[in-house]
Amino acid sequence: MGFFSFLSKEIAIDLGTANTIIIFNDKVVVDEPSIVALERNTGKIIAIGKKAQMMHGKTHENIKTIRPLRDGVIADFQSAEFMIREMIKMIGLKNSLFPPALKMVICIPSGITGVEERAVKDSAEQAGAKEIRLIH
Amino acid sequence: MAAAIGIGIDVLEPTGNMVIDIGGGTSEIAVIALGGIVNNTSIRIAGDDFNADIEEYMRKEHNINIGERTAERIKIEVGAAIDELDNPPDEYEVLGRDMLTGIPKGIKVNYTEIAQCLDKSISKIEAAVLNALENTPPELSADIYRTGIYLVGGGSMLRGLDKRLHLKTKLSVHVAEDPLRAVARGTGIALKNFDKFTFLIK
Ligand SMILES: Nc1ncnc2c1ncn2[C@@H]1O[C@H](COP(=O)(O)OP(=O)(O)OP(=O)(O)O)[C@@H](O)[C@H]1O
Ligand SMILES: [Mg+2]
Repeated sequence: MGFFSFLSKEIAIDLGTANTIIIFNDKVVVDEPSIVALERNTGKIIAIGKKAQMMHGKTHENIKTIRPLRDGVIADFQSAEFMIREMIKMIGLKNSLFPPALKMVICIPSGITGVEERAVKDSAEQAGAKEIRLIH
Repeated sequence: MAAAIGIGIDVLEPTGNMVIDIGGGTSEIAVIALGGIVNNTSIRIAGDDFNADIEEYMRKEHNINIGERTAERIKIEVGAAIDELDNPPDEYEVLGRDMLTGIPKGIKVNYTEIAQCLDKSISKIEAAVLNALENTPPELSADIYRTGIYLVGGGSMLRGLDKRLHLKTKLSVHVAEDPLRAVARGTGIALKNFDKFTFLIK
């Protein structure tokens, strides 16, 4: 901890079908349902996590909610990527001072295929991860 | 693996441990020893399927349409894996749409009917657990006989699930403390052992 703690850019992610949890500096900093809400015609993300969850089942034709993971794997690659990126932003790392050079460990289901494994890594890389390890 | 680490098991030891993670999308049963997964059974029956069972049950038995969130609420309020609980929850009023009139309606449900409606899915989890035990090398079986089975994941909080698995396997069954975060905790510990834990996947 202390002065240099904000330099630490190592995070652990449990990317779950229902909930995504991020640990940073030994603390749970994000614990949100794995869901995104977006504008149907523009594809713009309106909300993620709890906020999007509140909209689930209550949307009108211009909003839809997506759970990017199904059965433990990424079912919707693009929205998964969005979700991971937005959740990492929630940690509040100063991206302007420290361009994301994140070290990440991500938990994945053991039944996952090679392709699905690749999809998780790609999402994490898109979200700024530089060094990634996966764990079952 | 992360789940095992998260509940404080020393996964590098030559001792077998069985950890079951019942999440939203999958239930995973793993036997872990010497820093590796000795065997793993993963089935796509978990919390989401319990919700779907409840939605269907409400439609068929009570002629009421409910959404996924309401189904989850019912599961958390009055969900159960066995129909005789020591500390039964109160009846719960479900609000939804009457399928016949289309008008919003409330009806009361109790845990015994939810236990019945979840029975099929839970039986599948049970079968997977038995299967995993069958496929465990005997030396590790002996370890598991001593240590029992550990449950993590949100689904492990379903009332009576631990008891049901205990009755089925005769093994002791322990639900992890804060089961929703056990995997995240373990992943956090793995992060600190980024280079030491050789089982992490590059
Ligand atoms: N008290 C409870 N009783 C029963 N089920 C619960 C309870 N609390 C949460 N759940 C369920 O637990 C599930 C979420 O658990 P968890 O966060 O461990 O899953 P996940 O890690 O997101 O999913 P997966 O591991 O399958 O990818 C949801 O289906 C939720 O409804
Ligand atoms: Mg999980």
